[in-house]
Amino acid sequence: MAEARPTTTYEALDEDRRIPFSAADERAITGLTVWCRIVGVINIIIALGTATLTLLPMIRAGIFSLLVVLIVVLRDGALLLLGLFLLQAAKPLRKMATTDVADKQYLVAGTMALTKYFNLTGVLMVLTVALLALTLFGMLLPKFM
Amino acid sequence: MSDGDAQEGKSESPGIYFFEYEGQVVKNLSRGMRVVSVLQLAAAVLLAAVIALILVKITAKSAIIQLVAGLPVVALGLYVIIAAVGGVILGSGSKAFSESVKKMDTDLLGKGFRKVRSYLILTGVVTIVGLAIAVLGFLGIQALYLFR
Repeated sequence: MAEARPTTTYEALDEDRRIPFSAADERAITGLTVWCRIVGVINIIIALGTATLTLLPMIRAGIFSLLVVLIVVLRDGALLLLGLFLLQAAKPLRKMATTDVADKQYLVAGTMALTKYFNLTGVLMVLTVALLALTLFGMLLPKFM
Repeated sequence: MSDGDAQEGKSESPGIYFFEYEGQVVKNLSRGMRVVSVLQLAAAVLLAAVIALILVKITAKSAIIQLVAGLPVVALGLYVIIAAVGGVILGSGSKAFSESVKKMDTDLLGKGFRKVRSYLILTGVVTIVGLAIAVLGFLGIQALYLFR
């Protein structure tokens, strides 16, 4: 029974250092990290740009609208977080693909950051689907009245 | 899984230790991707329905209205296709990740990451093109104000 638990074997310790991906998979993961960085940086630029373009005219005119600020914080805050999560995932995944130091640790860190990215994307998609359903309802309503 | 299976799996799939102790992390990623995939496909279907209704409304209108309303409809149509493709890619990636945990197979894990890469390439290209169109549109409007 005890033989089946691999935690104390040399193989288990070795596997902490190296997860045996194929060369093609390691190239693909390196490519993934490049795109994580590109999309992450673009998301951050868009978030900061749209927040500035929305808030600057308001500040110049000396107007304060809580609704606008709330929309900016939610919309651009979410976009900023998505960008940060992607950048957070890129670093450990790249280290996992290019080194054999602590693959398991890097894979867990990268995967967790990607999970955060997809979870937040899911929340935004729920809002998108709800808005689309409302739009469709609004377009169809006059036909039944 | 029995101890015997664990030993057998170890010889067939060298990534077994990772899956035994960190499989839940990959499962969470798979679940998150599946949710986004389903929602993205639902959004594509709803958007297609909205486009169909807009098309029905503008077909009886004049040619200018058809042209003005037609361009955004074409853009929305492209978005429907992109959303559907993205949803399918994510669904496939999610399946690969969950299968990799079940079968303790690093090749399937690699396949999942390849699918995430494809999704990010799609997202990245669409975002870059969208951003370029927005910047060009913004500059165009500014130029119209300057030279009117």
